[in-house]
Amino acid sequence: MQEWSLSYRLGKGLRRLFRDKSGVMAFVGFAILLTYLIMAIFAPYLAPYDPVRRSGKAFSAPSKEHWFGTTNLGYDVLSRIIYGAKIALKIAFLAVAVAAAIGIPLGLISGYVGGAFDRILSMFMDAIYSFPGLILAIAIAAVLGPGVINVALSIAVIYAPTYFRVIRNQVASLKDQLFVEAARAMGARNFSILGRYILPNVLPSVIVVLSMNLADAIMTEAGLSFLGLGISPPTPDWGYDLSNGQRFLLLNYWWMILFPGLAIITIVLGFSLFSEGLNEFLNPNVGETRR
Amino acid sequence: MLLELKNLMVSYKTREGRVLAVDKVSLPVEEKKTLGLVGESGCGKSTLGGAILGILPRETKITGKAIFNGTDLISMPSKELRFIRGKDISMIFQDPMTSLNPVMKLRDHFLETIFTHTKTSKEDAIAMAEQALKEVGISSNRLNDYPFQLSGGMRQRVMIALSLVLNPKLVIADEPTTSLDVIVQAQILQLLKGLQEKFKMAMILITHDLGVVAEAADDIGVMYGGHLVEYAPKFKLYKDPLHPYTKDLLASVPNTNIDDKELRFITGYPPNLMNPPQGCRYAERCSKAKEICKQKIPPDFYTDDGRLVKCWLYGEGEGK
Amino acid sequence: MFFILLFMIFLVMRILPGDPVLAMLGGKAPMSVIEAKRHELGYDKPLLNQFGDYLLDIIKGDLGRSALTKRPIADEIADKLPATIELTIFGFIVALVIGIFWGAEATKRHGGVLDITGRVYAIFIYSIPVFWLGMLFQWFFGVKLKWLPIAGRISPLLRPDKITGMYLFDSLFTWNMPALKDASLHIILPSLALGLIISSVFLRMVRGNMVLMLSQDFVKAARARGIKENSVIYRHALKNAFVPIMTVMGLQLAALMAGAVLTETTFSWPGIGSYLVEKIRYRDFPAIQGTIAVYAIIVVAISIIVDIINALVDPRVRY
Repeated sequence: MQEWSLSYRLGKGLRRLFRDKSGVMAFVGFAILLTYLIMAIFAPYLAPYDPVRRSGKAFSAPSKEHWFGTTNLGYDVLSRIIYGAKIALKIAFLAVAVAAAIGIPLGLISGYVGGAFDRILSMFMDAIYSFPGLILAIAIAAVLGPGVINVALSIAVIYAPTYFRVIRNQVASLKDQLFVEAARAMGARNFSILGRYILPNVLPSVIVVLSMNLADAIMTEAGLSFLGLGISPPTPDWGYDLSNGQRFLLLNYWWMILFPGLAIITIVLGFSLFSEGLNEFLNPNVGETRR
Repeated sequence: MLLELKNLMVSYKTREGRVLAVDKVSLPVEEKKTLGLVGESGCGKSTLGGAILGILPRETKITGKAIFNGTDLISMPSKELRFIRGKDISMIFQDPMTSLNPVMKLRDHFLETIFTHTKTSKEDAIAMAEQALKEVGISSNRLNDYPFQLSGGMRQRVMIALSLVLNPKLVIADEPTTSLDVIVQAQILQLLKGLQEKFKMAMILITHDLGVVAEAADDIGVMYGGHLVEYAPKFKLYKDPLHPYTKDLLASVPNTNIDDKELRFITGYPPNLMNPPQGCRYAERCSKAKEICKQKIPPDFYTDDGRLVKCWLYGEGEGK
Repeated sequence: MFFILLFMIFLVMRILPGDPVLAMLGGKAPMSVIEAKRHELGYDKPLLNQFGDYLLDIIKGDLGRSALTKRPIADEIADKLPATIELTIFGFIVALVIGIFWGAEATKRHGGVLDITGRVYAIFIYSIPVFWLGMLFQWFFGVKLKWLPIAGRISPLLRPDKITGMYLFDSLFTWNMPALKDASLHIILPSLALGLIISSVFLRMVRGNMVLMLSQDFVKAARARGIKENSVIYRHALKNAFVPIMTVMGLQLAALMAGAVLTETTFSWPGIGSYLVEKIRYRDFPAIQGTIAVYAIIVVAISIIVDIINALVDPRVRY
């Protein structure tokens, strides 16, 4: 009986989720992400081979033993993709966390305090924002050198302004609104106004930006490692595997580029769908759906 | 009769459900006369105007008939309807600040409209535009201006000129004076009225302002909650309103002619059209509501002198 | 904004961990050599002085000398820039055509075929790395079908006389048909890959702005005047949506250049993107810094051009 009611409630919730397509999109995206997350966490159990050890003949086409074929060094492509999810997600999450940790507090303070401090900081952030992100990341990564932390940092720098701008603009318009003024009139301290009245109001948009940035961060990481600025080989990394595969493209070893590419596409697609669905879900009045 | 609405119904979908914005409205528009359509915001009067021209969003569902010069506009394919819009029937909108394309010169607004509907040489078209501007009191050298260079009142004059340039038979003016200053309002209203008489057009004047219809209309339709609750010639309606809503509405207008009554207001709120009441839409706020008013929607009753009233007081149980 | 960008580039290159001189010479160089090199490059002066010198040099058009080739960096970049501009122009055209027409047509019918496929296309394309799409093209059109060349700008023997450095234009000006044909074949795949990827952003942006514009009163008023739907969409709505679109496109042009770095690397396209990557490989820091500065100049130039075009389109900005 209890089970019935539970499943009934679950079904009702799901029905509500699937009522419009934003729910479906978010759900599909979430399912993809969950798959990759599981892949990343349980990589040692899921991967059929060691990703950095010769497991068969070099350049063997997809077969029963090697579903996605092997590389020039005889590494198993599938295993490298599974392990690669770990690196990709690790860097993406780290980068976005750092970007948010820099951008959100600065945005809050800058928007709330205003004045010259706000103008100068905004100018800096706008300058970074207007500069092509990947090129900036390339420059920073080139200086910092390879490694998980370094790559994450160079990606974080280009996304911090996004948070800063979103938060700053919302705070600047929120701080003059009546409920904030009322709180101030009642003697609330600046710190608690920021934390209790303003932060909850800006958080929904932050969550959307967050999930969008994760998609972009994965893309940027792939780009950096494609250019040889990512993790040092032979650590499994999709971007590096692609650039490695390109060297043998003329020899028609298509599996070396097809599968790592698909891995990037699906995971980015997962994040995009998730953020897109979430966006319509959280801010239904964007006017996109209605005319 | 230039235009006759028969059982016109308009509904549109929103996220929360279907809204019945206009419910079975039947109404005549006489040639060369002005029909004033009054009601509170959200009563469906603007939707009605849009439905006649077919410029409502695609999701809208329209049923019934709007017979213009013998042809039904509602069932007409949108490609054909387009040739009537702007030529035989034109429309003036509420907000002149946003109704003109900000990146187009006035001249191009006129030329585009004229060339869409007629085969005219450019010189003739410009002459027509200049003439139309002269009618509304704007000098023809303004043709090369952009909308943002004009004041609100002037833009509304331009909108009027633009809607008159092809000599339409019917003009639908949707709150044409609402967003203007009071003094400009009066000027624009006079201008509209004068032009309507001069060019022998019919006009549907949609407004929430009883003062406006009192000044400019010949016949008046009163709408409430998507229903047309009363239709009568202006003088009869003002002298002897039949529907309780019309009575309450007239009583709530500050009127310098009636100084012996105190100003009243209507209590309560208009009905939610997403989930309309079963019976008469006004029943809940009506002081004379009977049991049947809450049960069944009253039909359109016609009085002997051709007035329409949608109220149970005037039929069935003999209320008066 | 320009100075801020330059200042930041300067900071990043000079202060972030890793002494550029040490990096250049390797860890084992004797101290005296390092000191001498430092002095030679002016790295022993206070930081602000260094920045001042650097700024002056840039204004004079001097980006320093490459640590590797010893050639002036400005000259090296000037050699490579036309290739990047050529690629970016054609990529931009591809993105523009797809973005504007699909985006505008999609708004004609909300929930229609073009609308739905447009949205799916935008999300899907956005998820594809440009270098992977490039490789796929190389493999399919180059290796499998053998239709198109997969690397470089032109076959070496056909290079046209230099006027602009952009081969397509040069060969057109000199009426060098074999060169024109060869250069065209070379640019198809890279510009297509680059353009397709960016088109997803354009498509979304055009669609979003058009939806906004189509809900405006003047669009309703135009429809009420019986204006043709195509005129309503393209003349009334699109022209008004143009200003926000242009502004974002200016930003996107910057993204296009970032994409160009990857595209150039994929197709061995000898532009400044390839140049940058090559210099990074050899840790040629003055050259890296110079290239990034050139990117900053381009970004600023684009934003000025965008402002000018906006003024041309929107009378409210002009007056």
